[in-house]
Amino acid sequence: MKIVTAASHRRNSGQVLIITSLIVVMLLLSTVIYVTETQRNSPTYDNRADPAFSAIRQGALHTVISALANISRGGAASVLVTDLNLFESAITSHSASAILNVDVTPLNTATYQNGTWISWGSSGEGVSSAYVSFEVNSTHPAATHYAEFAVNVTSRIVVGGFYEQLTGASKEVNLTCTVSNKGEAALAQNLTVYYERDGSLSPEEWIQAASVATIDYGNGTYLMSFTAKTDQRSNPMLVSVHCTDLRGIFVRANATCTLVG
Amino acid sequence: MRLLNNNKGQVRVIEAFFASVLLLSSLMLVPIVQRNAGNSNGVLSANALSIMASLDSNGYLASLVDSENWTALRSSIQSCVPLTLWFNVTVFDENMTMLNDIPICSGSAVSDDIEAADYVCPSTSPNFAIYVIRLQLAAVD
Repeated sequence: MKIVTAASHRRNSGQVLIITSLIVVMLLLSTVIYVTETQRNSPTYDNRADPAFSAIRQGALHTVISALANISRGGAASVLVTDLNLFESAITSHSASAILNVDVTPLNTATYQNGTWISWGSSGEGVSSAYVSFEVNSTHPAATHYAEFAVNVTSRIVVGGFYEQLTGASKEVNLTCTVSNKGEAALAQNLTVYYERDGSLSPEEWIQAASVATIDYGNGTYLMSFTAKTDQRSNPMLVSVHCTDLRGIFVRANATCTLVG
Repeated sequence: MRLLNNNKGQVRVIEAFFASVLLLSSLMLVPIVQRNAGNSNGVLSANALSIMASLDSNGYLASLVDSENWTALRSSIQSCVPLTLWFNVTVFDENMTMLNDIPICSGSAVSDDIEAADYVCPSTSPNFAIYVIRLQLAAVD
């Protein structure tokens, strides 16, 4: 009886080893599955490699440019949010390979109100700007992508100049206008110059300058010369330069020219 | 001496080990095969999206659609698509109404393996409009 028990014990030891090896295999398998699933579910921070993300970023830029062009030409400030909502709806409904979730946040600070900042001052500087932040989540069966980016569209002009008295109330005016987009030199599509009839802003009586000789230096700097005639010889020379850049964004700046000679 | 007499159990353990190695290696191969298959399917649509995004970097595509200049649109796409690929472009508005009244393609399709990408193309003009440009690509056999 004792001999039989020893033999069966010897046979069972192999089975125990097999069961142990199976348990080890199951542990290994579960580890592999766990690692694979974790990798799949973890978000990939990538906003350049995926062509869909590049397209979204580009579309967002174009949407903001369009809205700023509209607002700077007298459109309502709400146009930005309306256009962004349309864009968001379009990209989420036309994403075939992934489920997209887009969060759009127009900037609200001391200068930006609902994503736009229009400052057309009298100190020789004018700014038309829009700033919107985007968060994009793309859920794909193979991976989850996440991207954060901001779109800043800014057109700025800086105007300065001087004038010389001619005979009577006529004045020879020379202006320098610098156009920039986000701090980089930019070209203007159209520049129009106005001057104040009596040099006073109350009431505003702007006269469009005729026969303006413009020199385009090709680096965003424009030199403009024209002859103006104010009501009185002693009237100061107030000018207003209206600029539309190549993207169609309008910006204006007023300046007071200094008398020379 | 005792180990030599107990060879049967060890062989079973070795068999189980080889079986588990075989099982694991086959499981490791499955995702690689799936990944390769997936890549070959999405290359053309990714290329289509890249082509349209690069053409529209300055709002060029939207301006062509704004002016309904389908001939220029066809030429632009043709200049970016290799000669070995067939293409067909369809332009929709935001309500998915087809806008192009003439076909914008490089001939008739010669392959059943057609891939497409939809590019959402917002206009940069002050009168905002959203277009959806669908570019279909297929390899010429």
